[in-house]
Amino acid sequence: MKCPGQDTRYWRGSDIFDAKCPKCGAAVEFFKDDTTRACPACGHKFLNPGMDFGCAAYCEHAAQCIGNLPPELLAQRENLLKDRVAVEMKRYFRQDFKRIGHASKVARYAEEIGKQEAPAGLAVILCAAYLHDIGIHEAERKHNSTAARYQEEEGPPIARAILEKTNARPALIDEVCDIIGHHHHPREEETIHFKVLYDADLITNLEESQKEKEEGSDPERIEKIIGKSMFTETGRQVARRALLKK
Amino acid sequence: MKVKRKIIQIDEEKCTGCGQCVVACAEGAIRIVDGKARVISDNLCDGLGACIGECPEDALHIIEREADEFDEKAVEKHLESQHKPEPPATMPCGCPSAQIQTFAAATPCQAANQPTATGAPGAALSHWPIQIRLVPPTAPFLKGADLLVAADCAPAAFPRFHSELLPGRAVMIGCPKFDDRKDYVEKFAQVFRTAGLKSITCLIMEVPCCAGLPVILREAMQASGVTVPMEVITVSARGEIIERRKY
Repeated sequence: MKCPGQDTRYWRGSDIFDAKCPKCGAAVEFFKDDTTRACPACGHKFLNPGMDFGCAAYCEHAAQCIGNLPPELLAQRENLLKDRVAVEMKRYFRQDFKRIGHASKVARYAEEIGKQEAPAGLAVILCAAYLHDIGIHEAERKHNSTAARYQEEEGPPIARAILEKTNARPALIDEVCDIIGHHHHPREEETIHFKVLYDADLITNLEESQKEKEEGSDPERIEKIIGKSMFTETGRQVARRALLKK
Repeated sequence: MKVKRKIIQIDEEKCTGCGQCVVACAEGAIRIVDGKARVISDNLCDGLGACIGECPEDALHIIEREADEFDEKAVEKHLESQHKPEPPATMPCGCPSAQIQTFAAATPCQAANQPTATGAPGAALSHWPIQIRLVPPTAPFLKGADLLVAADCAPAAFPRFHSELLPGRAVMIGCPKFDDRKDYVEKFAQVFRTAGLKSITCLIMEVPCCAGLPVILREAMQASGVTVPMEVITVSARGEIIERRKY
């Protein structure tokens, strides 16, 4: 069975097109599933300009399909991983929109803080952000409680299954599962990835409890929490903007 | 309150209004308006992009812009307004799928009176509804039945559906690509527990999206603890049987 995207029976005329060689400007014909072609005029080998690996973000056969790509595109895959994980998280929570909303808000703050604090670790940070509460349904089912300890116990195996399905790097899976397994209980020495997620989760939780109370809870108390419990400087800035409108 | 966040943008030029994204959106945030998919309101879209993978035209993209915060309470309200509780009898429009009907088998007299030379047998469907989602597990026509489970496209592709497969069988049709597989597994598990089926014949196409159907049936057998002998028939788009496999 072929991937429908690569099965020429489903193609249209626009799926075969001419691209300009970046070296000599000659027209080079590309099929939409060619990753690279050599220019017939000057021999320069270049990437398919219309190649979009968006499908790799959700296709489980992406590894077989785009395994032999140039490294610059493989780097892009790690970037796509978070989008797949987001969708898998959403599928797992099904109709529990409260959890889906919470996870996407945490991911939004984690991305903002992570860009400043640890840009290289964004894949780990965002996977952890989307999956940090993934154990909550199991915790409710098995222990009748959403207490942090049960969530931390039930989350990692579910997160691992999701990440393995998306063919993430084993090192990334281990790190994400470790973060999820103690995301409410910082250790003495914490990685910057953990700190970013912790801050993002804290901001989101404070923001949600502000909304519940409608009148906006006590700014002094919030400032105290920001000063005392947060790890990163960017986290504090984001928290003051989001919670104290500064 | 507006925040800068990720949200879905639909390219109207590319959108053909096929509606696959509508099915994919658990929040019901997308609707087809004048033949184009539109996000009904920003606060229903979580911006995670579960719909993107379903778009055959590449018309859906995640962008970042100022938008209302995703609001789970609004989503629940919206979904509630979409799913009105089912009225007990038929709807005012008299939707036939809301009423179970069994078309009585022909009397022996009628059965004996069939013309033999025409080669065109009559309709063999013995009951209604037939959609997996609409058939209640307790439906009388499922009791002790030989069940035919067909993927939506298969009856259209397989020319001898009425003459060879339908006679003597109850039928349930559905699509594992567009519907929620967990729902299907649950539904079939209930059917297996209550109906006491004699056999299952599963008719699917050769396309990859169909392959989920036998898997769903096996998962439902596991979930229900009831094993029913099953045969899977795979049909090509040209209507030929490619494979018959017994389980």
